[in-house]
Amino acid sequence: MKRRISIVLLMATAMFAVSSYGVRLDAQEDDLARVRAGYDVETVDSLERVIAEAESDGVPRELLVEKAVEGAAKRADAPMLVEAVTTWADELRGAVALLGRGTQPQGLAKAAESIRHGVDEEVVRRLAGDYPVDYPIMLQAIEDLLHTGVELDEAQAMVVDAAERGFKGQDVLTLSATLRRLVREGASPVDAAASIRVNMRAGRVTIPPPPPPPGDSRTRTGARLPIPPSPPPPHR
Amino acid sequence: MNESLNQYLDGELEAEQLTPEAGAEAQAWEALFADARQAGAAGAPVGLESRIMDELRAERKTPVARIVDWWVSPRPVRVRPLIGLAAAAAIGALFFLPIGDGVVEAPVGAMTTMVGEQPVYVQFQLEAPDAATVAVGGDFSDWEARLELVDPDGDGTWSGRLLLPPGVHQYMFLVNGTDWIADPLAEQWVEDGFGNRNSVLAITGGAGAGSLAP
Repeated sequence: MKRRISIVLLMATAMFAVSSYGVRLDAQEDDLARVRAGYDVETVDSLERVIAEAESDGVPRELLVEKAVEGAAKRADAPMLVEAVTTWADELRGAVALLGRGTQPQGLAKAAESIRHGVDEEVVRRLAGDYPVDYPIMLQAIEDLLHTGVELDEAQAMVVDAAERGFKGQDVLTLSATLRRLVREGASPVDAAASIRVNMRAGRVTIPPPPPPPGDSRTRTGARLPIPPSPPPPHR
Repeated sequence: MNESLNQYLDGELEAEQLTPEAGAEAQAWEALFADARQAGAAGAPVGLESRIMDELRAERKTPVARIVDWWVSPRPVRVRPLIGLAAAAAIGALFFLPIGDGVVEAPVGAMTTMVGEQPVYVQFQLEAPDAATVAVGGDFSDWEARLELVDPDGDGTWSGRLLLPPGVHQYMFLVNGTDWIADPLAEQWVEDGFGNRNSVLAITGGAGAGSLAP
């Protein structure tokens, strides 16, 4: 009797494990399920073709699936969806060619966007090579500076300079935050950038509390204020 | 019960040693024992045995009921620790080992891992006086409207907080469940390829921001 119970238990365990494995396989195969639910077969076939070709060139599938799912969520029409995924695949191919196969997907995506926004490929390659952990944030900082009105060469030089001085993570993003503050206070982007670089080179770098108070931050930044993770979230 | 009567019933005292009251009570007990012995010798009523067996046959369970009973009835189970450990390891391997290309996929916001910092709460806010609902969706939620913003005082300012990992995130507001709109106050954005702009949010954990101001 005891042996029979053991056998039954082992069989049940094996069945559970096999079914779990099947569920995982299904989930992996269903990464375009939300797209299939909203588009005709031809559209989905086109997307799968684009994705498969890009995958063969070393583009991570997940990045293209994410774009397709984003389009489906936004109810983009079918031609626009296929075009967006195709364009994104081409941009990612360029990033793969620059940084190599096996580059971490989020870094690859950031590199592709930065190149689209005009950042020099050589700067992308250099930052990714020298700072393999922080380079996505550094590229974001360059884009942020460009968006604030700093010239491309100056923006790239500022971030590279900061990186060489050991800035990383939040400190790099501080470049653009500080520049925005100076611009709000009346400086031109060019003068603000020059001022920051002079201070960086002189070693007069301080890490005081965030420049704008929370109230200001809400008003000016679209109300995104990083909050230490101590309080419980009201909506999760 | 009287102590001496107790001793009598236990055979420790003779009847003559009891008080008259205890002796009378002892006689009553003896009579009861005699009746009981007599009843026990009488045997079961005629047909009782066959009736009981009939009842037992009537209660015999179907195969399905017996299987169900086997699963739901508590019972001690003996499993060799080695076999149990092997089974647990097999299940764990199926759940945690990668499928296919042998590469563990990084989750959304994988820069969290790269940066190695803690997720932070981020407050979202949108002025939308005419909206019935406002939610936030982005690459951190596979573009599902994960966070419903609230406007408790009805002044048209919708807000809410979401725990996000450090990294560069793209997001939009979903108004009335149908209209995706960019954050009008976002300082950074990127074309989404669908004719709109995704707002961009770069966070690097809960550390205080630095400053390079002169």
